[in-house]
Amino acid sequence: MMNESWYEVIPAGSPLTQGDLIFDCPLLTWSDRALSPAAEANEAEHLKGEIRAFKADVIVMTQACDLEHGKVRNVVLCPHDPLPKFRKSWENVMAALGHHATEKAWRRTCDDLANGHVWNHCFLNSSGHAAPPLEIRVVDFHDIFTLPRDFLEAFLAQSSSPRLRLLPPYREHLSQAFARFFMRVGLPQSLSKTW
Amino acid sequence: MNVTISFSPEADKQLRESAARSGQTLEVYIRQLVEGELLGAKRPVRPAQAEAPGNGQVSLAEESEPAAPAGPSQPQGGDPQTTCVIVDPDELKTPWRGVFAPPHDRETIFTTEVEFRVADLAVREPHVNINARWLDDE
Repeated sequence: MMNESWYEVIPAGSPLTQGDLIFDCPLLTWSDRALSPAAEANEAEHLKGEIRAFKADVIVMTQACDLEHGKVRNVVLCPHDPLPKFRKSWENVMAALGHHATEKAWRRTCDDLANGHVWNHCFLNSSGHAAPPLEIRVVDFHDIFTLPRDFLEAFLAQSSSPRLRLLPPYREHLSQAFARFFMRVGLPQSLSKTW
Repeated sequence: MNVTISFSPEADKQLRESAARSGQTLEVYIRQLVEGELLGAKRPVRPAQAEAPGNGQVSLAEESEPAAPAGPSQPQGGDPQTTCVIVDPDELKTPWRGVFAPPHDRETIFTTEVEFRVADLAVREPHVNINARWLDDE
């Protein structure tokens, strides 16, 4: 039985590439609140009050060659959550919708995720490395963030801790799942199954 | 047009290291720099691959060698002083390949300082959409 690791441990100062896992990454966004018409009069001042900061565990989705050759100023990131946290959210949503969050339903959910049947999610395997440890995680392509590369590298440089990097071909598998999610087409009418 | 450029030992060293890091020969790397920085808006940037000698656009030779176009030299040790000869760049026929990344100017609406400690930030919560296939309801 093959025992190939999905990850390698890289020093904190290593240049960014696709598949790098970054934890507690600070991110900025706008408030969900709709801008009021009165805000038009002083748009800049109003927008200042709508900035929201939060943090998330993210993985670098930008192509490795674009980073290697300095083709991009900003880095594309997608969030990922540990499976127990994802399960808790799943249970909450199931309960809110009036469904039973049974073990069987959970197994079906995980099987669908693992088999690539859920467009916007992709599993990351647990890591066999002791430090930093990593449990199975769920990447969500619904949220896509970008950060300036210089900022991100400076942020990572502050940490002396090594980080995990997803290895090929698992890195490409993730990238392909991202591509499938983004390029998917829903047909207004399904195929007539007359066979 | 023929251009001869002599690089300082420091620049020579950096060029060789950068070319090696990007997996290109020195001459292709320098040509990309020129095309990307000076002609980038008009001319596509070449993909990261070496071209066979004979097109004659760029050739490199050590300082001790004649400056006339010769076969492209490979990055290697020796005298770090490098001479770059660029021949007829207008005749380059470069297909649109790879990634073209010209700088973009942004109009700044405002700038403001945002003070926070990462440890204190709110944590993003997962978003879950339930699929009917998963339901185990009676």
